[in-house]
This record gives sequence, C-alpha cells and structure tokens, in this order.
Amino acid sequence: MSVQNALEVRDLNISYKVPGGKLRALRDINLNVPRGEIVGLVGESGCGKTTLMQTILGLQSSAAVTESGQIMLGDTDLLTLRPKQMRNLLGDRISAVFQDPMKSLNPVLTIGRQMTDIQFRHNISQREKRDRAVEMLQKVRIPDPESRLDQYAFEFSGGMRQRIAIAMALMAEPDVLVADEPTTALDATLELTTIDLLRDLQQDIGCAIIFITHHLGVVAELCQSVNIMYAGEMVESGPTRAVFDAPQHPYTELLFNCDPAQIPERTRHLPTIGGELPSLINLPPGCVFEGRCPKAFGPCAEIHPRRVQSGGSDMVKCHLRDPEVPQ
Amino acid sequence: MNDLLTVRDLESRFKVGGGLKSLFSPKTYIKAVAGVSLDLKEGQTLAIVGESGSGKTTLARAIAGMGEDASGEVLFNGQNVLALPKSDQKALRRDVAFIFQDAVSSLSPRYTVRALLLEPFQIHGMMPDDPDAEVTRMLTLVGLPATMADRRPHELSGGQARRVGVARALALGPKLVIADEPTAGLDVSVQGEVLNLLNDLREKLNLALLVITHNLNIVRHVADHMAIMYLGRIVEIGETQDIFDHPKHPYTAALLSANPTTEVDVADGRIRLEGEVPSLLARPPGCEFHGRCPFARERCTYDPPEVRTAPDGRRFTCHFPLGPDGTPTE
Repeated sequence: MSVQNALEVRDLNISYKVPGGKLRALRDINLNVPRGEIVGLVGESGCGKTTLMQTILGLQSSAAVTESGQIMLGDTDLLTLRPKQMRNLLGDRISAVFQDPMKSLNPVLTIGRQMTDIQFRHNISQREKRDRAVEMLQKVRIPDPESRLDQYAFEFSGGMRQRIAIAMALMAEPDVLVADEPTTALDATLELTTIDLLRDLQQDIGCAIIFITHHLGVVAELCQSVNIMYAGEMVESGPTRAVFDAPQHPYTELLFNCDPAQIPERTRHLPTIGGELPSLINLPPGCVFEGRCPKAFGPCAEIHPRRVQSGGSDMVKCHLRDPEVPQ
Repeated sequence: MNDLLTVRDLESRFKVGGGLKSLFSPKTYIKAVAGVSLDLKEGQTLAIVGESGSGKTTLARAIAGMGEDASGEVLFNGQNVLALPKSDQKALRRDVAFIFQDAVSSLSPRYTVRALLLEPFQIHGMMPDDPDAEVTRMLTLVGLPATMADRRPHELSGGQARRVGVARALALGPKLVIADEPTAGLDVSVQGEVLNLLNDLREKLNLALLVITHNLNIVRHVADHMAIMYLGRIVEIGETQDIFDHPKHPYTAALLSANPTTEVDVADGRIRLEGEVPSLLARPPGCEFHGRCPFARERCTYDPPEVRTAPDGRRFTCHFPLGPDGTPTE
C-alpha cells in the first residue's frame, strides 16, 4: 500500500447470490483515495456504487459474497476484520454521510444528546463532550449552537440537518469520510454552501473524502480526482480536470455529453445513451460497454479490455486506448 | 388556447403539534403553500423549482385534489377542484394523473407490469374489451417492448420502471400530468430518456405537464414556463428562457448562479447566500427572503412585497428587482 493513500481498494470482487446464479456486482475494482483529497465516484444507478460503499463501511447485505480483493485502511485490510473490530473503526477512522439527513438523525433525541453520545469512546466529562459538540456545530456554521443543541432534528432546515450530519461524521476526525450523494436533497444554493463547507472542513481536518454523486458539476467543482463506474467495473479514473477535458473512455464521453448542463442551446430533445445495461448474471465475454458503444470494433465483443494509462487519465479500460490492440 | 388549469391564491396548511398540550393551547398550523397563483395551458410545460420543503409537492397534491386543508381556487377545465364533492373526485383522477418520485416503490412488487397497467382501468370500471391489446398499446406508447408485460417491478431497470409509471399515469387519457421529481436519483443518460419521453408524449397527446424538480439543468430544456418557490410562495414566475437570461428576484438569481457546472472559473460571479432558510413556524416579517438576500434594504425588513407584473408578463415579489446587469435597478 502506498503511503499517500488513506484508503485503497484492490481488485475487489463482490457478488450476490440470486436465484439463477451469481450476480457479479463488482468486478476487479481498484480505487485509490489519497490522504486529504476528495475523490469523486460517478456512475448510473445499478453500477455498483452502493455495493462498493457498503463494502467499505462493512455494511454489506447478507446476500453479498466477497470473492476476492482487499480494502486497505492504512495497514489494515478491512475485509479480514471481525464485525466487532470493524465496529470499532466506524465513526472513528471511517465515517459516512448519507443522502437523507432526516433518516440518519434520530428524531426522538436532541441533537446535543446524539452529538455527545457518539463521543462514547472519549474518556472525557459530559461537559467537555458538550463543548466539543458546540465547537463542531460552530464549524459547520450553525448559528447559536449552544441553545440549538437542545433541539430535535425536525426543528432544523434540510441544509442544517445535513450540516449536522457532516459535523457528527467529522467529530472523530476520521481518516476517510464516505459521502453518499449528500447534496441531492438540497437546492442549488444550499448545495453550494454544503460543498464549500465540506471542502473547508476537509482541509481543516485533513481527512480524505469519497464523494458519490450523479451530479457531474459537483464533481468538477469539488473533487481532485474522479472514478467512473459502469456495470460493476471501474472504467476510467484520473485527475478531474484531465478527465473532464478529454475523457478517454467512450462511456465517460457519452455520460458527459448527456449532462443537460453541458448543452448551451435550449433543446427539447436531450441526448441519451441507447441500449441497456448488460446482465450481471450472464456477463458478456468482452467489454461490458460493447453493446451500447458507438465506437465498438473488432476485439470489443470477445476480449475483455485491460487497464491502460491514456491521455490525462490514470486508468482506462478500453481497447481503443490500448497501444497493443491493433486499431 | 384556453387555460386548462388556473390556480388562484391557493393555500394548504398542516396542523402541527399534538399530544396533551394541544388540548389546552390553540392549534398551530404551518402554511406549506401560502397564496400561490399560476396558469397552465394545454400542451405546455410548467416547471416548479425550489428546495426541499419549499412546498412544491404540497402544491402539486393540492392541485390534484389530494391536498390537506386546502383553500383558494384550483380551476381545472373551469371546475373548482377544491369544492368538488367526493363522488366527483374519482372522475377528476382520470383527468389529472400523477407520476411519483420513486418509480420502483410506486409499483406494487406483487403485480406484473400487465396487472399494473390494467389497474387504473379496473379502479375506474373502464376495463377495455381487449386488455392485452391495450397493454401492448400502452407499452408501445412509452417505448417498451410488449414482452415486458410479464415482468415484475424488480425485474425492471430504473428507467424502465419510470416508463411503466408514465404508462400507468397515461392509461386513462389524462389532460394534465403532474410529475414529481421525475428524474431524481437517475443518472444523466436515463434522465434524458425519461424527459424525452414525457416531452414526446406531451406533444403527441397535447398534455399539460407540471414538472416538480430542483434540477435547474433540466428545467431550461423542458419547460416553457417556470415558477420558483420559496417558503410556500412563488417568488418569480414567467417564461423559462427570460428567467434564465434575466432573473428579477434575488433568490432566483442566486439559485441560477449557484448551479454547479463542469465549466472552469464560473465560480467567481456567484451570488452566495448567507443565513438559513427560516422555519415555516416563524415566518420573517416583511419580505421573507430578506434575511438571506444580498440586496436587502430597510424596507424589506417590514414591508412584505406585493406581486408585481413586468411588461413581459413575468410576475415576481420583490421591492427592488434585479436589472439586466444583475443588480437592483431602483
């Protein structure tokens, strides 16, 4: 494991037991999360983002089978930990912020109670825990934190709730924060404030963030690097600016072209990617994107593309970019 | 073209609090929708934009006659929806259809697509003579193969489930379709697919479409008109392109400028809002936006602005509307 990485996913394979066989949800996933960086994870619904997140957090469903791979947090392989050991890491070295803050905060306990409760590991007095909660609320710019500690989640606005969830997740100054679409429920102005805040806190605390989203604009503004997933595979990763300027994988390119924000002229007909996702139970032998790819040629249907470095991207899985494949 | 839908001063409120205390103290209400007026013509699309909690969904439910404690006027085809007797409400459901946010969970997992598509006919006692032909017709309408009829919701992809939701909404030939966050949670390519479908159907069937969303990027492409909601009120309503070009209300301007983009260096000209969204239980005096408005002046703190109409027909509620250069003109 390289020293600069806070978290590293290596050749991860996860499948689900389903009637009719094995659904291979994640295949050979590699993900580098450098220390103190914000890493974007983009992909359509069903591409395995959630499975990957759950596996990192040790929250997989009981039907999930880890076939192979490692998730390294420092020198520890999270996949070899017993549930109790994993629990000790959660909320301490790894935290998460989820999509809906109303569901991640307890509706019948005050914010203050929840924020002191999660400091159960710290051997400090109740007073000190409360002070720390106030300090954390100040950091996420909740006005008048001292008195608001005695309020319940429903008494806060949506943007504030999400900021409280962020405050709680960062309370223990974790090494890695997994943020699963934390701004989806907010309007553009609050989305912007939340992103600004997340960036400031991240610099303050120095943690790494895995930011999962559909919103390409948010990735471009927030993340240093971006990883594109498709049908359970990582198809491209690299520095955000380079990937956005010159996407190397045809899927990435099409995905960017579909973004309505990219289309300057008003149009009634939005571009889409034709075709369907391949079945993850009976996987095609070649490239997973072959059936929908406008640039598919000779080897694509038969041979699975290998990882190559191309253009500004660190990794791309495409025969078009592979110097050893005759074009 | 006549207005299919006319909404005037619509209010919808919820009772809050409960338990023992409510026996002794007067009831408190929050107004989730506070005096909304809008019009929608056949074959047109109106987008309602605003953050979660701004009253978008409550407004839509009230328009469809499903509102709680709604008052004001909702004229659908000249008939006041809010004053309809229960017996006529079922007929209204044929004309006003709803597409729900979470397509997969709005479909019963126990039903096949065929059963799901025939359910509206059953409920309204309008079973077609040849149900299979009807199912095929509906599936073709939304661009799904006829073989889909035997699948169950879990066997559908997100985009397919949404198409089935659209087909169900269109089953009884409605005149108005209300789509609540039709693209939430979809990635950009599937999002385009769903919006193109809604748009094609709108053209083909001359539907009026009310789209509720907080995704500004899609509003620009699909909606003829847009309304921006803040704390249950419409702060600006008008033609989409005009509003995008020259927002008059500072909240609209902030919303449009905050939209994250993949472009480099747009961040500089942004309007950043300070402060918090006020609670509906304690609406601020004066203009309800003044606490966050970068251009607020003294008058805004005590004098609630009236709805004003610009020469181009745009309506907005602001004392000091923004000019073309993005600063207050007066």
